[in-house]
Amino acid sequence: MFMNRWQETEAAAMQDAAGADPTARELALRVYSSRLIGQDPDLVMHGGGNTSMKQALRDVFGDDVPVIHIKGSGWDLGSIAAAGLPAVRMAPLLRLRGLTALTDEDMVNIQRSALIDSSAPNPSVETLLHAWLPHKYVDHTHATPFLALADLPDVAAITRELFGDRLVLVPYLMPGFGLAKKAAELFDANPECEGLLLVNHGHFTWGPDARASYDRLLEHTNLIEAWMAERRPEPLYPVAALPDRFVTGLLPMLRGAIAVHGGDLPVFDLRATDAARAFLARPDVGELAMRGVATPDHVIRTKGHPSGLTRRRFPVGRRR
Amino acid sequence: MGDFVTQYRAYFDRQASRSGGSKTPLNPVPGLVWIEGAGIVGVGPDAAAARIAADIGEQTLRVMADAQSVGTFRPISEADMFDCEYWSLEQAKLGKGKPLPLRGQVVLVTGGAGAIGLATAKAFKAQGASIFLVDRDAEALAAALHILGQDHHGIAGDITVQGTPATAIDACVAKFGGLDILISNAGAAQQGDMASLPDAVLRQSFELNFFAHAAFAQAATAIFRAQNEARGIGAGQILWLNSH
Repeated sequence: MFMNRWQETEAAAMQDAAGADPTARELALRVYSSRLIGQDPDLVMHGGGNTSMKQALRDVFGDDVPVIHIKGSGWDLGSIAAAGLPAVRMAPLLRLRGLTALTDEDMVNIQRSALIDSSAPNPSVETLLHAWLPHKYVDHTHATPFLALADLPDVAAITRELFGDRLVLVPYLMPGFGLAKKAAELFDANPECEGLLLVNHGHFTWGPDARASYDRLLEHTNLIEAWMAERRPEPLYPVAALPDRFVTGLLPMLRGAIAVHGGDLPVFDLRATDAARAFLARPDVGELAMRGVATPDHVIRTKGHPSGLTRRRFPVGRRR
Repeated sequence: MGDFVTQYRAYFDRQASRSGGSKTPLNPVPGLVWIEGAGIVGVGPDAAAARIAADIGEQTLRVMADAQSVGTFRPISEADMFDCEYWSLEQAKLGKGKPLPLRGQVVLVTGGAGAIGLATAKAFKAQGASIFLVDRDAEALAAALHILGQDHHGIAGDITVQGTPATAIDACVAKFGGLDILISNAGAAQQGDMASLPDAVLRQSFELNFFAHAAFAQAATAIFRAQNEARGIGAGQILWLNSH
């Protein structure tokens, strides 16, 4: 289960560190709950997921301008700071909803040109989806239980069983303008809903303040986690591990073999865990390896599927 | 590995002709390797990319296992996956810019927590290398690794003890997958009156200043050979530092 790690004292300290300006103090809460979310790898991982907050900022003319603070490209939620949540003017973003199509280049350009600080990082590719939801705080995650549910063929029936009308299903579309349009339409048709389940992708939820949105995010995620846990088989017995010397003999050869095709020698990060070995001993492991990625943006990090090395195919004869 | 690359190229050709437009194929090597009996390996052009791939790989195993226990894991189609993989806004997340000259190079520094060792490590890190420190002093090692920051690693051990150099090289391989540059730096000058210098001090001096260097060089060479076997080229460097 996911622990609720909100601490009022920590939240207050973040606000105090932000100074006296009420908009900076509000943004400090957005930073705080973004970090809480980002620091749990089973909620979001490495730039996956994004958070936002809407408020009005006073500009140099003295006008109060409605903006959305949205995660900037290149920032990680777990270590985000106020500078990583650039403010974008809401008016042009809202107006974009009237268009029937928008190229990626135009979307990026308009988002950039609507930045309050012209030197801020690019707003997230999911900015429009956040902007078109009317709630003040919006959290988008790729939580492990949500991905397991979102990648089931019968996701609709199970979501209804677990959440009733509280969650609305959004069919798979590539992130960007089209997905934002579809999600906003579905939200408008169900304005009382508490969140969106993006099929094959992840989860959106929201609230009037940072804590309410965070609480709801955990409540939704834990509901699925509990349901999954009840159905999870007993852990398998640990699978016999290959001797360490064998593995350290194998890795340099593998590194060289990859460099034959990829040019440079790559760097590895081995996770020799019982859980991984047990998974790799499943009878359906070969088929699962070919199924694909749990959420679309993983593909840029892992490719579409792993390369598999089975005992049958280990190089023989050359041992240190 | 050839199978993966062949399949990746076929996937690219299939999907690129479907999607139209001109797409440039990415490096056709895996981001993850599943090794039966061992675990999963994140693969990347540098240690951070490898770590990220491994983190995602571990999460994916949990997602797949749960989905399979209640139904079927059925993610987006190949076509949708391709559209994301080759979407300019996704690729932009990986950042651009020229990689540092030593990106992807694994560098092991003996005596790495000492003044010269750590300065050497920092210099290699600044050029993009992944650093593995070996030092006798566990506390100094921890402090040095803290200075180097995430994605650099090390092991504490007395390299004059037989077996320690091989163990240290193995630990480096287990962490980064191999080794490219060995900085054989650990050493010390023993000073004293030659006429009365105890035998034990002389022998210990040879253990540290000769045999440990030789043992590291031998273990490193075995790794260089294993890496080079498939490529048919010789690579891997050893630098002996001598501060006497």
